[in-house]
Amino acid sequence: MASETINSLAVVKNPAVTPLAVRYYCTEDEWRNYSGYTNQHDFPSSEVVLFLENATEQVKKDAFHRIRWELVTKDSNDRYFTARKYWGNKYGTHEDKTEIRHGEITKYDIEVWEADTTSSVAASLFLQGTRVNRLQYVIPYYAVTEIDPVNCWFKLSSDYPTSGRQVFVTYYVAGKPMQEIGYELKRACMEYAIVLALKKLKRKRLKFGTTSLSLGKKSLTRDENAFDEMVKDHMKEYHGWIRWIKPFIGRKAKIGRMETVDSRRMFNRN
Amino acid sequence: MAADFAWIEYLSTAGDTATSTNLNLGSTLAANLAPSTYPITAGTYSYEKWIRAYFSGTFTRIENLQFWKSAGEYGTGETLKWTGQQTEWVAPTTTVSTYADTAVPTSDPGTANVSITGTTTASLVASGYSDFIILQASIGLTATAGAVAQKTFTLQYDEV
Repeated sequence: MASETINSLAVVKNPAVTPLAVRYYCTEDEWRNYSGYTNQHDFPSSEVVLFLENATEQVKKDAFHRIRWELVTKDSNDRYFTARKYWGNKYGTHEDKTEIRHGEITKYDIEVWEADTTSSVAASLFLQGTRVNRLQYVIPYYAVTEIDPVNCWFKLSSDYPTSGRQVFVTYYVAGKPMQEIGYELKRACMEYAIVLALKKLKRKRLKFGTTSLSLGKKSLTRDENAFDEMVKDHMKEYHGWIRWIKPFIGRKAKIGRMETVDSRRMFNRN
Repeated sequence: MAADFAWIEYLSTAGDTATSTNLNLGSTLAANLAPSTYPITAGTYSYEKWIRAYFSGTFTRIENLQFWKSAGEYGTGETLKWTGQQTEWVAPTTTVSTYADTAVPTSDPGTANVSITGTTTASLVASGYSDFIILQASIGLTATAGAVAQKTFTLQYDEV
């Protein structure tokens, strides 16, 4: 009896390890410097991180529009194009293990599905409003081999789609390419985090007999109205940034012979 | 006199071969590759390794080929699949292997699990090859970035 041995090594590259800097649209330091809320007693780091996390989710929900299960077909270069531009970050991913890189689009921002090709009978039933049992199957991320978030296409490995199935994609649309709106996303995130922080502070301090508060550059006596006014100002500022980012979703309305035209509409589609 | 032994790796064509001094797995199709240059992205598979054992020199008979992973622990999300009984060469793939679909044994299997001319009971009586051994690493999304633990594979055989 004889034997031979041989060794094997491998190295893993895991892009899922997301640096803290891109977990939210802005960092704690950026937020503290901008807001002036450096007081660790009223704004402890553990709470600020939570506010930034929630603000990031809120920004995504307000600024990006989800398009669910859009049917896509591929071109001669095996690229599956989505109907709308530009791709935004996926929301509902606030847990620690998120693979979303905020401010950058990766394959984890889209969900690719496949479903059996609709038969003519099923299609006619569907058009009549009848429910058709049509199962959607998720295509795993490792099968998404390439993406282009500006031209808005993706490629799949040769294993997908399964024979006889069509490809669908769920994606998120922003009004402008992500590399153009990094600053806007950061400012919106900061504003909403301030709103969350102030709302928490109102319950914690104003309700319990504090006579005056020093908030960054502002000093407030115990005046709920002044406090609420400040929160409103930040909300207004927040919505200003969101309006800048969000895509135009809608149709042209016609009143008499006048027709509304949203100049961003054509821009978004090209 | 004992038989001579070599690991022969098959690359992009059936005639494109190389002598392997290691079975490093990575994201490219090459023999003795540098794993840090060709890391495997979490959530994907390595390129398949298609290798054969080559026996030459003077011997009466070679038989009872047994292959297993004799050392090296798996990391989180890491699995090695294999087969040792593929007779025909097919171009290696980096997608999930349709051949290497069984976990590599982690101890001496006791009976032959690598075939010669399509059967595990056959033997070599002159210089020749075993059938193909195909290996592929599957790296899950939970895998930690960096080098995985080194694995050692043993091929045991009876020489008469």
